[in-house]
Amino acid sequence: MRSRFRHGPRLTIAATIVAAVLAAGGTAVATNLMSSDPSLNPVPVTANAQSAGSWIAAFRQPSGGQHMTAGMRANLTNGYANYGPNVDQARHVQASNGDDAYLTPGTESLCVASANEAFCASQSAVRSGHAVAVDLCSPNLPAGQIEVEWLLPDGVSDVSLGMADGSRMNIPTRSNVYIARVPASGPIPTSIEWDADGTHHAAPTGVPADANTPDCVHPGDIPPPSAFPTPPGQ
Amino acid sequence: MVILTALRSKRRLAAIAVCAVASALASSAALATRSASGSNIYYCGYYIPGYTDCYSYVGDPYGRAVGKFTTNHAYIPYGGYGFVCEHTYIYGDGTISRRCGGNYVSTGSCSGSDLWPYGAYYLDGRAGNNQSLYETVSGHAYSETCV
Repeated sequence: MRSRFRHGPRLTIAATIVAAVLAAGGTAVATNLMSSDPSLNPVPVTANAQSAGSWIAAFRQPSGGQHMTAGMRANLTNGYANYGPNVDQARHVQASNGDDAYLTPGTESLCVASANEAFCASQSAVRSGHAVAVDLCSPNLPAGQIEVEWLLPDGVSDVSLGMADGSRMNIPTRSNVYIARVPASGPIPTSIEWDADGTHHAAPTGVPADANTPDCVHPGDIPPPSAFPTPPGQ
Repeated sequence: MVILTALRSKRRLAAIAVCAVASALASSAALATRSASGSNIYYCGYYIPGYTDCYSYVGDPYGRAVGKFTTNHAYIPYGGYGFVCEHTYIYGDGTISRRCGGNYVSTGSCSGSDLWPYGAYYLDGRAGNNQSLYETVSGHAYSETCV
């Protein structure tokens, strides 16, 4: 009995301390797990336009980043912080469809912001034609459309989209930024194609086979929030 | 000797209890990072088949983000390369954003986000694997403070 009373409180205290420490540790571990995810960790903004200037013509021109809208700057800076986009060194270009676009150097990466799209990709992805973003439904995309936006390095020609039915849609080259919209009801674009160094190249667009999103709604189309159910636990 | 053995047993039991409590607390802390109770929701993180939406495949609450948020990302963690899609619905209704890209794709951020006009709505955010091979896909949905 005596031993029980002698050790009981100690064990209780020890148990409490250990539990508290482990709980705190668990939180710390969980926090560390989150921050150890490299795709979420912001990296230092050390990029400059020089390294991209040798293969992206726009970076041999003066900076035009000051003309980016606040929304574009915030979109890249906040949404793609892990790529280290340096919006102060952005270059204004005209995309293949005539839209204004801003090429922005990142840390070993390249970003682009336009009226309806912003994305970043590694430099190797840009060089290989794998820097592509697809919009199937968004507030600014008209219903029934698919938008494909991609980047290619200098020196390309005969750029086109290869369609699922075997046809091709030729795309003009105005800069390194390409934007095309196609009707979702038609054949979907499956490949980006181009010639460079006397060789024909192709890369997948990443447009999913079920690209026609029939339930796409826009801000003006939907009833007020009270018309929808509240999720359990909210 | 008997008393000593009994004491050891009680200590052993106490130690086991401590471990159990600590383990439970640590587990709940780890799960908290993926809970759908706030506006900073990490979800999915599963190794899923090609052309699969994480929630449709795993069917558990951690396969999607439900709540009020302004940004939804889908990505391949740990530097993997592939194709992913994000897909965001009004909870219980239609699609408001669906974007696909390389190993990191986003609805956008702040006023540039597809979700910005829907701040008052409960949303259902998904992340999917948009390639033929299995891949680990993660999702992150959160609310931002934007100026």
